[in-house]
Amino acid sequence: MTRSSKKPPFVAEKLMQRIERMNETGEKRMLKTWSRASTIYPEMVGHTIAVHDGRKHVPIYVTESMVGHKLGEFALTRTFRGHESKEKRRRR
Amino acid sequence: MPRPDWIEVGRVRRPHGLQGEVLISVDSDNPDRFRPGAVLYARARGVGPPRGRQGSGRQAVLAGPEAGDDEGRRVLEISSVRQGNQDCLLVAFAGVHERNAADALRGWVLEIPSAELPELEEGEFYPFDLAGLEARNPDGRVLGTVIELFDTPAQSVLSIRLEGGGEALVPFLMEAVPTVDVAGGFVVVEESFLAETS
Repeated sequence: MTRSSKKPPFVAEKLMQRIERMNETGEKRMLKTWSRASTIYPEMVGHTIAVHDGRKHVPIYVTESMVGHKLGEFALTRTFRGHESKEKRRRR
Repeated sequence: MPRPDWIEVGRVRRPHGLQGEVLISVDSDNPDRFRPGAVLYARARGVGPPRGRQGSGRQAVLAGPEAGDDEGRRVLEISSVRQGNQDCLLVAFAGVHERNAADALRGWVLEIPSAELPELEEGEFYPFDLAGLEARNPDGRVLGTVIELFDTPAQSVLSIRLEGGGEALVPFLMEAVPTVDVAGGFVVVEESFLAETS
């Protein structure tokens, strides 16, 4: 069953309030949340949200391309990192 | 922490067909790594000393393409490459002409000596070079030591063991990690981006 179209996409109310408060003051600090089901709104772009993966909070820097997705999509609950010494470059 | 002597570039998954081809999962972003004529070093899974105490990679290079090294590595030269399914390649090695010989390579790890890694461009890093670096705040105060760099679907994340105990994560972004000095042995981390995990 899909969510009723008369409702906006779900976001934890407290999380959104904290984001809006930070946007008003221009403050940028990490927010911790357990709400993996919250949808990423455009207001969250540029903020870093630490999303709980069941064990720890994983810091996620929100970019424009993530809008519309859920926070939980970016903090995996099952991770297999495998061998560390691989020929794979990383950029900041 | 010194760079490991051997770098993994792929794994042999299974033989393919009867002509000695094998399916390889690729762990390298270097487009020249798997091309005809390239030489790789194959090691049976679980064989070899633990990380950090590995033997010299140069010895195997100097030993020539037919020789193995003291850790049981086998030197393999690629004779042909074609695209397999998903992110895998179908590779044929010189001297491996039939299925049984290819099946003997099942599960083997393909490596290169770290001396053969290409030069990095500005702003690029290998995750294994960051492990062991000192993490400092912008004022120079030591926060801890970098444990590893791992990937999330959003971006890479730096894991730091804090001085006072515990662990913290920080997104590997210009804003959060403005300076990475591998030669100097430190990274600068903005404390506002630190997410303590324990």
